[in-house]
Amino acid sequence: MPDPVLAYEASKIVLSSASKTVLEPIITRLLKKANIVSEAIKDDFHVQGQEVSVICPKSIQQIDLYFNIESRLSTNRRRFYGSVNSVTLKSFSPYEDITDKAIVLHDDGFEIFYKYLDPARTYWLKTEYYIDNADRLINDWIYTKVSHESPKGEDEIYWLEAHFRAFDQFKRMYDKFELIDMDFKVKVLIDNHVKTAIPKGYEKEIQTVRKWMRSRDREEKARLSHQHMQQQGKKGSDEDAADFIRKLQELFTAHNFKQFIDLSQNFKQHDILRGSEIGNAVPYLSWPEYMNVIARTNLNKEHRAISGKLTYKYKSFQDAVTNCF
Amino acid sequence: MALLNFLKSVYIPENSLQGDSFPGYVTWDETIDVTITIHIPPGVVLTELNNVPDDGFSLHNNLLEIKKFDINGYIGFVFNTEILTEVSIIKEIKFSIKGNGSEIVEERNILLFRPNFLIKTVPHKIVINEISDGNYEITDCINLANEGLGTAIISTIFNKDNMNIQQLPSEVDEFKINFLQDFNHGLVELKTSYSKYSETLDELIAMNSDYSVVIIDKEIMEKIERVGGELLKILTEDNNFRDEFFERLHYAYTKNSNFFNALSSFINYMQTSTSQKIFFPAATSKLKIKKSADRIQFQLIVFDLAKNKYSPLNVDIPLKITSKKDEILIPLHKLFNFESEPLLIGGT
Repeated sequence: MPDPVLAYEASKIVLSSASKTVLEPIITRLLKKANIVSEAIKDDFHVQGQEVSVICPKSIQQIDLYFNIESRLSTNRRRFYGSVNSVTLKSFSPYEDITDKAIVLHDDGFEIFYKYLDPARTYWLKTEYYIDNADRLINDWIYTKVSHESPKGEDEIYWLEAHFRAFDQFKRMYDKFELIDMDFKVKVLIDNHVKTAIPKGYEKEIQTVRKWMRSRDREEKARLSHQHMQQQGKKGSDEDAADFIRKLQELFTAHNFKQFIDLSQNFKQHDILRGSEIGNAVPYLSWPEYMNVIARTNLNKEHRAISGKLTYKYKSFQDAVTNCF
Repeated sequence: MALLNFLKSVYIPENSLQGDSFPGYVTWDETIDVTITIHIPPGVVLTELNNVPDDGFSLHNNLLEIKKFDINGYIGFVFNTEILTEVSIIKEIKFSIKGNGSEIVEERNILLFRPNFLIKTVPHKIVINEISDGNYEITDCINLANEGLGTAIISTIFNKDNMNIQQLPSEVDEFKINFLQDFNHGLVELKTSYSKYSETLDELIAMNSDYSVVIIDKEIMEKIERVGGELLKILTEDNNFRDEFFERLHYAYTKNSNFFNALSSFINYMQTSTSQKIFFPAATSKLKIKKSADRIQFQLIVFDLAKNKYSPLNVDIPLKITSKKDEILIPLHKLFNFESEPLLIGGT
């Protein structure tokens, strides 16, 4: 008799078989598309290699076939069925793009005219198909996670990880399979560093400026003006609040913020978008509590699991905030 | 750490929020058959095992043994953690990988941390005196602190009839309402050109219309994360949409913004967060209190960034108000002092 407590724990574990049940019909459809081309090509040519890639941001499945003509062709053209996004056909040695003359696209597929093919050359046929519900496929297929935050007191490092939940279907069928440009969205918390980089005296100063602007009382305005002059003296800067706010806002652009981000090998920085306030989904043009850093990586047969780090150079960022004065 | 022979990598992240999941994996030379044993420490639970057939593993007393793999060469894990008594603790996960006639033992440490939000001291009594029209002095504050390593997101719930959260600071509120109305108008226009994104845009428009949310709960956090994530994906992948989206955002902002509310929103920004990893989104909201109120009673609700909710903290303090008015409005943050954060007491 199994220990009931342990049996309960084991029953709660999600296993590969569960992932495969969800994935099987979707992956079967993907492979069917790939097979339509590769099996038909095999009838006429010698296939030297085939690769399947999923280009995540475009929701595209790309199939690359490398082939040459093995013997005399029995027909002068072949039709391939299935709704295709794009097709290109190129030769190596010499390099030539023969897509325009050798390929004709139809609503339900495409056609290759063999008379433009040279038996002495090797060809590269690239076809692209749109994947329905690609996001769901990728979510079911790949486990991905990034850390929510870095523990206080540590360097500001966020970890990123991804691994295939299942892979065996592709292992059996293709020389090379790759998932290209998977997105990792890292919310890099920054507000804490803005706050601590701003001298306490300056925060009081801009509060005084705001009170002065709001006040309609002549005596209070005079008192606040005096107070503001004293505060400026303490700060020792000629910059006014408007300049400071403009300069600080510019730090939150992708162009400027990217200098504070480092990504480890295997990951590349794709984009940076200003985040919003906690409690809002819209990236207001006000003051972000975090920045959205989009990192990308590839998963393939050689890298079925991958991990990396995003380092946020917060000290440099704080220096940049201080330099806004 | 050099990994010998057939073993390529053993990965566990260096840290994770408690109450959240974290991944792990082992990779090895796919020509070598291996058996992997993992000692899972108390407080950590295995929730997902990838690339392992149903009959390929056993789990006894936190000892996980894996003997079969769908394809050889890698295994992926997902673990979950409980909210632990310890605010932060290092757990060791021990891997033993047997193959090719040898055994390799690898240990990985993970720091499990969380916020530890505390009411440090509560005054015996809070006295609010009107010093000039609409300006109030508060004699003593409730001292709050986050002594954990994780971020705390806090909000307040006032249940009594004699006090409630009234509004955001007037200038920020007015700017926000006008800005969101104009921005929503732009989003409705965008829907006609980008009908494929209408579902996300509709949700954004609905969220923008509910600008007065000051209590953060799990449902709101999840919705914000979902809609924000969908928006981010579209903005990242569709440059034309991105240009038009920000054009409308910029128009709504410049139409309604002026130096005064830019300054106000910056002060608001400084006051809703602290250097102690505390977010207090409603910090600058106004609290409306009837002069007759003789106690201040509320709950402090605390979440972390993994959306775990912690036990609410109850506050109940005698109150005395001196004012010519029957009702007073005070910025909520004036009731609190965050340790080492004297500037938070400033403001309107």
